[in-house]
Amino acid sequence: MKEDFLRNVTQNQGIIHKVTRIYCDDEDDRKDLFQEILIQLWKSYDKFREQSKFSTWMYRVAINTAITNFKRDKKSRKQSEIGKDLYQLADEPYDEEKEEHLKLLHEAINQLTGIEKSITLLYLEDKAYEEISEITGISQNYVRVKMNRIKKKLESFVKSKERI
Amino acid sequence: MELHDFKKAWQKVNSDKSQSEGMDSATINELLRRRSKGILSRLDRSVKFGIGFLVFFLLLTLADQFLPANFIFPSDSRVSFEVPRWINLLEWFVNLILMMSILIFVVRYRSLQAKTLADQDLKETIEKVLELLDTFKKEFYLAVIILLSGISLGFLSGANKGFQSVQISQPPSILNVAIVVVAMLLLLGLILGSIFYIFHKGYNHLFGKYRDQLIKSLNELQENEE
Repeated sequence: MKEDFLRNVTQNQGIIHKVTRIYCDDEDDRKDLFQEILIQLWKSYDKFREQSKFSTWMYRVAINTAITNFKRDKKSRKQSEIGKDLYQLADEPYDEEKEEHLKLLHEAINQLTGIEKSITLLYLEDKAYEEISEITGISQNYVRVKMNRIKKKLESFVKSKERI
Repeated sequence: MELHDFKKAWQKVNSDKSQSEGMDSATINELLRRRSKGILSRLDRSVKFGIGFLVFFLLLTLADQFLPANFIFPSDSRVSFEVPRWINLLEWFVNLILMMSILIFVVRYRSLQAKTLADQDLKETIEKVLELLDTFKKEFYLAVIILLSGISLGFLSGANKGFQSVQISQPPSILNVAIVVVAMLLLLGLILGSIFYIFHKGYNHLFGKYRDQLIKSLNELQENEE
């Protein structure tokens, strides 16, 4: 059973990386959350009876673990330093507009609550409302309402940044 | 910048990072073997440790009640004196509460299905983590109360013995007795209060902020459903 689990998780590990990227600011926190998600996935693997797609189940466990994870205060580090490497593109010629978009994306995501981050992540991953609802267990109506609020929140954040 | 620009930027980051972040199954297996610092694992460990500690304490108390006095310590190293019946009854009462509580904690822990907490709907997961936290809190305070009860009973036994020996050698006046009793109770109250305060602060420092964070998330979910 463990071999099956390891094979499936290795193939779909991108999901865990994405969840840790959206929820954690620094490398150490990301590593800790990555490990905790793996452990929660392994503990729940018995219960996974292929009722849903493996990736759907993986998103659910990963997001639940991330939302219930304790967010430590980062008083000792400047906000601008946090997540500096997180959205940087390696080995690519410098593109000012792209870098600006990435910086803005990082800052915008940091404005969101844990639940908003989960919905945003699934939206950015092109998931339909139906699947977002299946992953989080919240109604499609609620997802729609929440998504509209997130859009407004992000738009007003971008506008406020552009004014500066 | 529009929302679809965010989407493009996000997809670009992920495709770029997927090369460098990829792990093989051996590395993932190694991570599974290591002790996790994550709060869900820590909380699970804390509750199990708490139940283990309470069982250990109960066994120790039962051993003290039922094993012969010189089983652990040689008889000549133990100062023997008669413990009043009411103190014995109090000890039994504390043990009874302890036994019942352990039973309740084990049943509650099992009913929470703590092992698969993360594999539920989001709301259910948060509610169950809060319940687990609550179970741990009760366990924690029970351990503190047992500790304080032990200290109180020891203190009262000692005071009672001291009072008896003074009465035999030199009967004290009522005023002296009253002063000593009040002073003893004040001292006992001060010791118990300080210990309780330290443990209470310690618990809040460990899990207080975390609990607030979970309640905030739960409220956010409920507010939108209403």
